[in-house]
Amino acid sequence: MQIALLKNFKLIGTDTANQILITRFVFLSLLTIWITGFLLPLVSTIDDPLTNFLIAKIYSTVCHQDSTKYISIDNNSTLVCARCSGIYFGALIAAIASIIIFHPLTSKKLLLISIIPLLIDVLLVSLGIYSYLKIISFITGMVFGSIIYLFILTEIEKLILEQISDSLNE
Amino acid sequence: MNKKYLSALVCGFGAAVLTTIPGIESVACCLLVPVAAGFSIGLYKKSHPDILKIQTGTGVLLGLLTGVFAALFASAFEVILTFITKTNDLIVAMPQTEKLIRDMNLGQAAEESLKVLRQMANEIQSKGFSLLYSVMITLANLITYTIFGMLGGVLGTAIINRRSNQ
Repeated sequence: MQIALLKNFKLIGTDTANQILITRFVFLSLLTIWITGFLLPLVSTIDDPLTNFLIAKIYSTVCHQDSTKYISIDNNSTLVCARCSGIYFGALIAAIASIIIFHPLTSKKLLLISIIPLLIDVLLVSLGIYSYLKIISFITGMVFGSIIYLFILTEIEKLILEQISDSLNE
Repeated sequence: MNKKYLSALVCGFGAAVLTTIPGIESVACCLLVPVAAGFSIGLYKKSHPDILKIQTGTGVLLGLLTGVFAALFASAFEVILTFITKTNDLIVAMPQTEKLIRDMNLGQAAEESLKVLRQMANEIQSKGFSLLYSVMITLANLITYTIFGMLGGVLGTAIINRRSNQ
C-alpha cells in the first residue's frame, strides 16, 4: 500500500510534494503555538489575571498539572508536567525533522515500541521502585511524542496521497 | 437536524458524559475527544452508505463539531454538578492553583489573579455558580476539545477510508 502510494507520489510530482510540505509546516506552526503556550510562564509575563487563569485552565485539560512534576527554571514553571513537556518537545523535534527529511514513514509496531519506556517509567514510579525523575519522564515522553507525531503525520499524508490519487483516477 | 451534525452531536455528548467520570477528565481531551471524533465519522459513514470515501474536509468538520459539542456538554455538566455539590476541581485544587499562579512570578498581577480566583471559589461555595468560572471553563474546553477533535477527525478519516478499501 505504502509503496504504491509512494509510486503515485513520484508520478504526481511537485504539486503533491508542495501540498505535503505545506501540511508539515502547518502542523509545525500549530505545535509551536501550543508549546509556546505552556512555556509562557518561562518566557514572558502576562499581567491580566483572567488570561493567566484561562491559559492554565486550557492546559489542565491535557495534563494533571501536579506542581511537583513541572519543569522549573528560576522559580518559573511550565504549565504541564515533565512527561507532557517531553511528548510535545519530541513532537516538535519530529516536526522539524519531517521538513528536512522528506519520508518520515512510521508504523504501528514502532508506535507500540515507543510507548514501552514511558509505560515502564509510569509503572516503576507507581510501584515505588524509584521516585519520579523529571529527566526520565521527559526523555521517555520525548521518544513517544516524536513517534506518535510521525505516525499521525504519516496517516494524514497517506490520506492526502490517496485523495489525490483518487481524483487523478476519476 | 442535518444528519451530518447528528453523529457529531451523539458522539460529542457521549464523550462529555465520560468526562464526568472522576479520573477520566485528565485524558478527556487527548483520548476521549479524538476517539469520539473517529466514532462520529464512523456513524456518519454508516448513515450514508452511498459514500465510498470520506473527504478530509468532511472528517475535519465532523471532528470539529464533535469537539464543539463535547466542550459545550462537558461544560454544562460541570456547571450542573458544581451547582448541586457546591464544589468542583477549582475548590479542590485551590492551594495548588495558588502555587501555580505564584510560580508564574507575576508580582502584583499574581495577587490580582488570586483575588479573582478566590472570588470565584467563594461564589461557588456559597451559591454553587460562578458566571466567570462557567465562561472560563467553556472557553478552555472549546479551545482544546476542538483542536483534538479535528486531529481525531483527520485520523479517523484516514483509518475508516483504509478499512473501506480493504
